[in-house]
Amino acid sequence: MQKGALVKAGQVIARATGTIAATLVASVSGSVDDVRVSDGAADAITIRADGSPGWTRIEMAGQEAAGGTPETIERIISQSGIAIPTRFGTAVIGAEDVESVIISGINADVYNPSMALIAASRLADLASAMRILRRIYPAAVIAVALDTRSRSLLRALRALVPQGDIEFHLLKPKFPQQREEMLLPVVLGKGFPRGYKAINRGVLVLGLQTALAVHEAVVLGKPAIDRIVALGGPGFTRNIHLRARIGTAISDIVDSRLRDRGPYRLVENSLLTGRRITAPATTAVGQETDTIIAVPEKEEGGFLPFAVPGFRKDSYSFTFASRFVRLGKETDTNLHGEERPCISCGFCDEVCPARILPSLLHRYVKRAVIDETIFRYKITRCIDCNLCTYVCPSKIDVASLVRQGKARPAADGSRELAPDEPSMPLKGIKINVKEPAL
Amino acid sequence: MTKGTTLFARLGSAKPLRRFAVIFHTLDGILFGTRAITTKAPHILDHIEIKRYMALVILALVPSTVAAIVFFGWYVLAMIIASYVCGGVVEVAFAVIRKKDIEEGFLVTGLIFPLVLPPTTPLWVVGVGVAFGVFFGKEVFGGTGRNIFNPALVGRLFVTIAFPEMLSASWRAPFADAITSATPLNLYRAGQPLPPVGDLLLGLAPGSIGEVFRIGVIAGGLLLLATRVANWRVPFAYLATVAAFSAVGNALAPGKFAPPQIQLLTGGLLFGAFFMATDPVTSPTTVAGKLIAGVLLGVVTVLIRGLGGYSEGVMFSIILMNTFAPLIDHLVLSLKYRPAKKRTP
Repeated sequence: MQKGALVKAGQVIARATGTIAATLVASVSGSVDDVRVSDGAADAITIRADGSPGWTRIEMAGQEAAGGTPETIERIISQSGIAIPTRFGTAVIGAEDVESVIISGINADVYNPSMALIAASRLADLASAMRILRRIYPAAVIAVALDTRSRSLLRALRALVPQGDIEFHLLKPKFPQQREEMLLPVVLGKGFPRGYKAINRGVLVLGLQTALAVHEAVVLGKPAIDRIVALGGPGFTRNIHLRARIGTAISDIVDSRLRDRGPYRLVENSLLTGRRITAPATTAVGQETDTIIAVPEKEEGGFLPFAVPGFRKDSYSFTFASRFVRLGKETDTNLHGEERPCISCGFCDEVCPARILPSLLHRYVKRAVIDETIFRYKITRCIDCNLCTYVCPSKIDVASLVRQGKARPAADGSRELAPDEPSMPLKGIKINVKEPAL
Repeated sequence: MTKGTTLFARLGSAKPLRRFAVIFHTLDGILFGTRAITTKAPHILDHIEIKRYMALVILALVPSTVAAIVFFGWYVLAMIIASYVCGGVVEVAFAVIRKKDIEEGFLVTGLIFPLVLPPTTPLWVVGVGVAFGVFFGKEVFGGTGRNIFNPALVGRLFVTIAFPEMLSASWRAPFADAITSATPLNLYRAGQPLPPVGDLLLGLAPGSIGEVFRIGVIAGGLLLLATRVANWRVPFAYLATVAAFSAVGNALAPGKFAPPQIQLLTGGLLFGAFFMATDPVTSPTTVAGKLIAGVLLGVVTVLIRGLGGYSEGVMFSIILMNTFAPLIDHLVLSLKYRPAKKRTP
């Protein structure tokens, strides 16, 4: 791509070669402003949009393509910019390695996009997406996982697909159920070595939006150029959903919609695990962005904060009135208390979805006792959900300490202290064969 | 330390007061909370904090405390004030020297300690006991979170041994002026008739000032369990074991072991089970460990009450359980996470 070149939305503007042949599709029409190729991960092409709404249709696409050969479908997908396994190497594994597909619409975070808004009027399209996925992954288990708040959505969808071909799962909307570490065991009865992705176990986890994009690409010929993004949190004047082209600067979306009583912190996707958006003007809506959250930076505690009833204050403990009345809960970035020594209250152990003991592990790491004991206590099972830090009454960043404990031996290159060896067959990665310990 | 904009922060940074900055910082935290914000994910935090956690314990102690003042007069209030003042001096002195915030756990220790004393305890004994408890029970170990023993119980144990005639021989029934030497547990040992169960529940029998109004103790204890401030496992296992073990003991040796209903409603058992054995710092942290600790507590309490030299065994059994808590956790963990077998090459 040359600077100043004219591109149309949907046009393939870059191809990564090597192990993964990712395609980059222009999401808007306009002229190329800047091409930045760096050694790291942040290669970028900036396009000055001309404002035209159209896009280039993928040629082979159409209703007959959806029923055509898997090769045609995979070729369309590889052109569309959707990164799912095909024979053209568009993901870390090939199409034949896909054993299961989970289409997941579980809303278990603090702010979530509305599944009803994304999918309720598009059930036929979702069913079509499942038929397409069935064609390219003929032997795979295809499962749909929704939470109990989307019960009617699941029922309606089930009526549209052939009986028995697709598995349906209704799960509790309890954080962090939406994460693949929690989805795989529940939906497929499958675990995978910690630190690897579900895809390395041959499991493709797709959001509802990506599934719909597969249908749009194959049947309508529409490349993956946009996403529905939800604006969540008290910082926005209205909590709306909007359709944004991928690559749109976050500032273009939020600037006119933020309340003026800031400052607000912008966070992508999750208040518990999400990335903080510090430079909205140079941060773009990505393939995975589904929520932008604005929470107040609250640098004050209020008067006698420990003694108020707390009708809108969330807590794992039952010490606030919010546990007994159903009002919306407030969110802000205040610590809500001062850091204190650990009193072993056990809250972190109780909430840990990985069933390890953060109260114990964080002490070991804090005292710099990093030896085989913390691996015996299964520190590598941690899935970085940050719940332990969230519930801590002493405001200790338990999760970061556990993360340090997991990372340090690996960084030290220690062989004896390496995490669990993957005992299951993995795909798309090379496992270094270790010499037997003497 | 937060931004130097508030009154307390300014007082704390004034030259003659700089040494006492922690006191102002603590006051600021109590009145206005914290100004600190998260720096990375998780971007939001639970609203529970140690102040509220400890405030809930104080709230749960209110029924017992109010009943104690009603039963034994304003002298009880004087005991509580003496405890807070003397223990507070030790606590604040350590905070100033360490340059760390004053820890809220003391507010609980300072109230629990007078509540486990007889109503006739002289004020100076209250002061000496709480100071000893805070100093040797907590501060020498490095403060809250590192102590092995419940500080209030360390103080109680100290005064029991140092001033035996004041702490185990002179009791007073509620609303009465006459000094008696007999708590219901003493009466049972002497083979004398006991007060009816209703009197024991309402607190009309002699005992330590906070333990006698048992309806209030149970209500406060249930509040702690319901709010998750105390874990239910220790008190549940403790009380269940006392009931079961004393039933067996009473059937075998009725003269020595009181029947379950008497065991449960006398002495400091309910108070100890709900407010002292549940101290998260000094009890085991593992789930199984908590249950084991409760069973251990029950067995030791009934054994001391039935066969020991003292008529009451709650304090000794909790101190003993505190001693074994790390070992219990260690055993539970080593069973749950067995060391990986050495692979032979």
